[in-house]
Amino acid sequence: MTASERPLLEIRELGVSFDTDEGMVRAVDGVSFVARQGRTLGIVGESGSGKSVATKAVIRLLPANARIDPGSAILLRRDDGEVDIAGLPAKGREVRRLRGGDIGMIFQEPMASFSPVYTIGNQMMEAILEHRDHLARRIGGSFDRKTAREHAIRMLERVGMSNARLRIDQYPHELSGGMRQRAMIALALSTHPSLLIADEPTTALDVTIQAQILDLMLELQQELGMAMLFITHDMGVIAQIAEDVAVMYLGRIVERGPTREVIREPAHPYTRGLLAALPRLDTGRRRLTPVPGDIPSPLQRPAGCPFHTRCPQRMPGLCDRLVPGDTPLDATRSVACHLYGEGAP
Amino acid sequence: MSGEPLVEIRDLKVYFGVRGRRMLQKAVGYVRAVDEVTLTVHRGETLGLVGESGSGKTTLGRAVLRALPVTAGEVRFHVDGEAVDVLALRGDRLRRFRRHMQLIFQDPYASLDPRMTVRDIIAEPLEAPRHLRNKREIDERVREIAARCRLNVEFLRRFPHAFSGGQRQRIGIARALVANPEFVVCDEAVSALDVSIQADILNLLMDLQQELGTTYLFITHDLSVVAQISDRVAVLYLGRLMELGPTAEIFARPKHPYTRALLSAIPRVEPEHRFDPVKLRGEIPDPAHPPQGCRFSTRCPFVRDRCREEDPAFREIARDHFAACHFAEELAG
Repeated sequence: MTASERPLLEIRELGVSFDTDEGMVRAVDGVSFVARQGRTLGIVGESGSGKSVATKAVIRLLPANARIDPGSAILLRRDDGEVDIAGLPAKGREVRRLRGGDIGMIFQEPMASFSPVYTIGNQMMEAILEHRDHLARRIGGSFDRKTAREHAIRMLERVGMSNARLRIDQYPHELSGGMRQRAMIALALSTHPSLLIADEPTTALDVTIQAQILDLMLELQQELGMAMLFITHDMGVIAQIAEDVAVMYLGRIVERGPTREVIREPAHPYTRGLLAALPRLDTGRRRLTPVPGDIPSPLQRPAGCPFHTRCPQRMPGLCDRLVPGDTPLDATRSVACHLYGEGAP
Repeated sequence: MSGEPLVEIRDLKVYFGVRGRRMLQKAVGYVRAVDEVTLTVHRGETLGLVGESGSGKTTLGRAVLRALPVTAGEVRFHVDGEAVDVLALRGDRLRRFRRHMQLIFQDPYASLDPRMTVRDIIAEPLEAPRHLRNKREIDERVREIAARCRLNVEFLRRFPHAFSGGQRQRIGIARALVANPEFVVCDEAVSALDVSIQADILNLLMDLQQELGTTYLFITHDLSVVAQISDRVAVLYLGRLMELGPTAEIFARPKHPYTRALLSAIPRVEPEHRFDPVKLRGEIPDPAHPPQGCRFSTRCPFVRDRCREEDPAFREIARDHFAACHFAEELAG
């Protein structure tokens, strides 16, 4: 393994539950994955898959009624050693130092990152100054208000904002949707995070604008060598941006591996179903192949394999009772399905 | 496909007034949401209408259904052997005519009244215009369409909140089709659904079309959905029609630079496909201040002087394949 592919973030047996009026909802159930420096891990899933909850746990931005299992580990490697984010107090100084410093975040809705009452520049400068020690370690130099402003302008230019010197003093609502998205990326990257979490960052954008943003993110990741977690429901976006993919269904990772291989030869019946259900550009008018049934309510998680209620290959007596473990297919791929387990037919 | 016309749209304009900053001030400008669109929907076909934000696709669909005021133009609806001027219908005649044309919304959550039972929601279009008065007849018709939409008859007595997204969309479809409309506008009808559910609803729409002979105007931003369901595709940009043609032609041999850019921007799942989107300059212009000449000229990679001055005509470039570009032949190579 080369130095550039060292694990930067390692999640082990992450479990997250929500205490709701209607009972406990198990949103993430024993999820483990690794994000490597210089690589993008795509996390793909439909409603209720837990993809957003799992990544929000990494930055400890879960709602107040959420509980992280005591056995969970969220290990982030830093220059001065490893830190287990799962063990830190959610509102403590340490977490705030990581969030926006070592870990950058971008969301579907840019206004989740920006406050409407301050200018873009003010908010970027505040982030840069708050994380100036981290930034000094990453790129050197020292930052005061003046150099922070210059750095913010450089970042805005880098994400393709024309007239950055003027626009830095605008308020978020004065920018168009695409420009706001760019400003959010500039804000997240202005502290040179080692890990970028992107949660459906292009879902609300028009397709021509989405293409520009994806292009930009690919470029910036290569340039800055960060690890990226890219969460989306869109297999097409995953295929273009992520080297590796983890497919989630009802709180569990059902399949993982290099994106190309998973798409070419999906192993899990759910991954196969999801790919078969995709409308394609080049096949002409035809009937599609849906995944039968509905996604179960999170309040009624099926026993055994979470997918067995919709699986065309379920084995009665096995799939509805036992949760399948992670079975390696080769050095880079694994699948959680009894079809591949020991004693499988 | 050169079928028999069902809905003929001619030079349709829908402008919205833009008010000044002060209250009660008169309109200071107009957003040309739909600007001189001419388009014929053929009986029994699915015409896909695609475009990005601000293209006017939703406005066009609503205008044809008389769901919002039209500024100018003509909409002719061929029904029972006569051509009805839809924009001239008023009062009771308009209310009665509405059963011929229906709308399926994007958001099955927002479009169903939570205080009505599923039966009453589906039955609404039958009851409103004194179409059917007999309760037994209505019940029978509701049960029939619910079965066609693969909705469990048990569900009819329940309230919509108890249903999943896919089931709610089936309820929306059943309501739209209960009065046997000739023409249905599907506005982002599957866009809010998960992929595994979306495929099922698209299949249902295609099956119902075969069984009932319904005509769809299928509005969406999602080009792969359009590729799958449409016989022909129309591409809108800033209120103007850019291109129109048979689906396979549009996807294999797009004539307009905008359509090309749009197609290249779709992230494809095929691993062998290299993602290389056409780089468009800038953003979609403000529809209140559309560019001079060709609407796409400010972003077109092939722009020439003529494009900035002269609005291109919408003309037939190949058989049944139209585009609004001065240089369509040249660019198509």
